[in-house]
Amino acid sequence: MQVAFRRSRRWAGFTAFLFLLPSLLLILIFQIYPFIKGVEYAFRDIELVRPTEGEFVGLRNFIIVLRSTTPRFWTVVFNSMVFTAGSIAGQIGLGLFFAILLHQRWVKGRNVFRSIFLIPWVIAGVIVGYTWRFVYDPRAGLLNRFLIALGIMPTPWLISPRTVMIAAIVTNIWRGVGFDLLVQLAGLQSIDLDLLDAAAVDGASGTQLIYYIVLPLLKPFLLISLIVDTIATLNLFDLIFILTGGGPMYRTEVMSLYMYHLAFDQGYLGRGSAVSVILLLITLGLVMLYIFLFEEEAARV
Amino acid sequence: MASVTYEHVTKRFGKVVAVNDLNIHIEDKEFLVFVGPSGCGKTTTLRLLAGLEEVTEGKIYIGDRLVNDVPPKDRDIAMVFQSYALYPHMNVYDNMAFGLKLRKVPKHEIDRRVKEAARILGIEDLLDRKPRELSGGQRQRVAVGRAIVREPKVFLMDEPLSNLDAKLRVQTRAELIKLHQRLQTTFIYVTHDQMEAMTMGTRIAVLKDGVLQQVDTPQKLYNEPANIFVAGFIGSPSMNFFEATIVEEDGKLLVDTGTFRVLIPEAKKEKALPYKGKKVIFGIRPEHIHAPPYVPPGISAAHIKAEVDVKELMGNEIFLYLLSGKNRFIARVDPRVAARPGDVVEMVIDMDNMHLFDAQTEKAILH
Repeated sequence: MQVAFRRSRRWAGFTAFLFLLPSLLLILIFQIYPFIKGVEYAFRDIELVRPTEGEFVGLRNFIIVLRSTTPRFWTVVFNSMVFTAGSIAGQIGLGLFFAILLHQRWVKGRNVFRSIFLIPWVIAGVIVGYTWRFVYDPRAGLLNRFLIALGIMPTPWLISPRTVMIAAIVTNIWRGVGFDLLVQLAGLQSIDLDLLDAAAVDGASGTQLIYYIVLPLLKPFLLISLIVDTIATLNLFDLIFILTGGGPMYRTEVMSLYMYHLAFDQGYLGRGSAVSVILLLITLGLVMLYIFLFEEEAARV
Repeated sequence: MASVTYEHVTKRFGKVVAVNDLNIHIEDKEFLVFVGPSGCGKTTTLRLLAGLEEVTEGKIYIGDRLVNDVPPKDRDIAMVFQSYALYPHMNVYDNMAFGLKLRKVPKHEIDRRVKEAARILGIEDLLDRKPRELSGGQRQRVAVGRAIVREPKVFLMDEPLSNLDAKLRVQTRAELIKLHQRLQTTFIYVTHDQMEAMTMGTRIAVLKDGVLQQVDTPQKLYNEPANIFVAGFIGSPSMNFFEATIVEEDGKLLVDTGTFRVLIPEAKKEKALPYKGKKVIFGIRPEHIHAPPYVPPGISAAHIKAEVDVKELMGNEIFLYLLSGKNRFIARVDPRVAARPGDVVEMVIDMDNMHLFDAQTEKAILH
C-alpha cells in the first residue's frame, strides 16, 4: 500500500516535470543561453563582421569602454541616471497624485480613467517615440503651436541640447505614469478606510493624512513601482532611439543606446556586451539598494 | 466634557434614508447607548457626530456649538472603532500619541498622558509593540487608550466589543463602565447587543430603520417599551406576543387570544377600555410566565393550559417552549419544574406585567 503510494508520488513528480519541460526548454534556449552568451561576449574580442571568432581578452573590453572619449562613458552613465531619476520621480509622483485623485469618493468612472491612463503604457515605444516627435516638431509640432498661440517663444525641443533631456523625460513619464497609477491605486484600495477615519478624528488634516498614514502604508507599493520603473527606464531603448537617437551631441545617449551604437553601428559586439554587463550590474545594485533602504525604514518605524 | 444634541437630523445616502429626523439630547457625563439591529442607522448616527459623514438635514450640537460644518479634527471627540483602526506602521506608544502630536501637545505632556492611560488599561508592557503583535483584547485596549489620552469632550464607541470572545467581552464591559465613572466624560456607545446596552447605558436609544423608537433608562425600556419593536428587542429571550381581542364579560375586561382568555387587572382596565372589541397584540415576557407550584405570591395570576414542546435546561433556570393552539411562546421558569416535552401543563401568567399594543400602530397601549 505504502510502496504503491510512494511510487505514485514519484510518478506524479515525473508527470509534473514533463508538463514543465516545454517551458523550461524555452526559458533555457531563449533566456538563459543568450544571457550567458552575452556575458561571455563581454570578455571576448568579438566583432559584428566576424561573429564566430574572437579570442578571450579578459577585462580589455571593459577598460576600453570605460576609457572611451566620444562620448565619455561617464557621460553616458550620467545621462542614464538623469533620465531614470527624472522619469521615475515624474511617474511615481504623478501616478500617486492621480491615484489619490481617482481614489476620492466623489470620482465616478474610476475604471474608465484607469484604462485611459494605461493606454500609453501598452502602446509600442516606437509609436510613442514617433508620436512625440510630432509633438515636439519645431514648426508643425503641437507643443510649439500651442506656445505660439499663448504668445510664448517656441523652442526646438529635440534639437536644443538644453531641452532634449527634459523632452525625453516628459515623453517617458507620459508613457509610464499609467502603470504607477495602477499600482498606487491598488495600494490605496488596500488601505482600511477606518484608518483614515481614525486619523481624521485624531486631528489629521488632508495633507497630514497623506503624510502620516497613506504614504507609510503605501511603502510596499511604492517599492514595487520604484523597482519596476528603474528596470524599465534604465533598459529603455525603443522610445528614446526613435525620439532622439541619443542626440544632439550625446545629450540623450543613455547606456542602452550606447550599447547599441557600439555593437551594431561600430560593430564592436564585445564592447557592447561589456556595456550591457555594466548596465545589468548597475540595475541590480540599485534594486538591492532600494530593498535595503525600504527594509531599514520598515524596521526603524 | 459636553452635552450632545441632535436636532431633526436626517442622513440620506442617495435614496436610502439612514437616519430619519433624529431628535435626542444627550446630557453631559451621560453614558448613552444607541442600540438596534444591523442597518438601523446607529453607526451612521455616530459617524455624523464624529464628522465622518455630512448631515443631510438638521443640526448637531456639541455643547452649545453647532458642529455641522466643523471638520472631525476640530470637534474634540475621540472614537473607538469596531475594527480598532490601529495604525499598523506605528507601535502602541505612537498610536496613542498620534492625536496629541498632531495637536502639538508638548512632548513631556504626551509622555505623561500615554503612560497614564497605559497604566489604567494595563498595557504598559506593550508600548513598543506593533499592532500586529497584539492579541484582539490588547488591540482593543490600545484603541481605548488612544481615545483616553486625547481627553476629549465626548467619547464615541462603535461596537468596540464585538470582535472579542464572549468571556473577554463581559470583562471589558465592566472595565468600560468603570472607565466612564473614572473619566466623568460623555460616552456615546453603539451596539447591536441589547445585553451590552442594558448593562452599560445610563440611557438607551433604540433605533430601527433610521427612526428613533424610544430613549430611556434600561429599567424603563424593559418595563415600559414604547412599541412592539422595543418590547421584542430588549430582553432575552424576547417578549412573547399574541394576536388578541379585548372582550368584556360581567363588567370585566379580558384578553382573548383565541386559545386562552386572561383577565386584565383592575389597575390597567381603564387604558384598555377604548380597545374593547378591537384587535390588539398581547405581550408577556418569558420571566412573567410561571409554572406551579413555583409561582411568586401576590401577583394577578391568570391560569392557562399549554403543551411543552421543548425544554432547555440552563442550570439556574429552565426555558419552556410551549404550544397553546396556534400560539407558541416561551416561559422562563424555576429550575425545579419537572414538566417534560409532550406534557400538558398549567402555566400562570403574571398579568401585572402584561403589555398591550395597538395592532395597527404597534404602539404600546398599557404596561
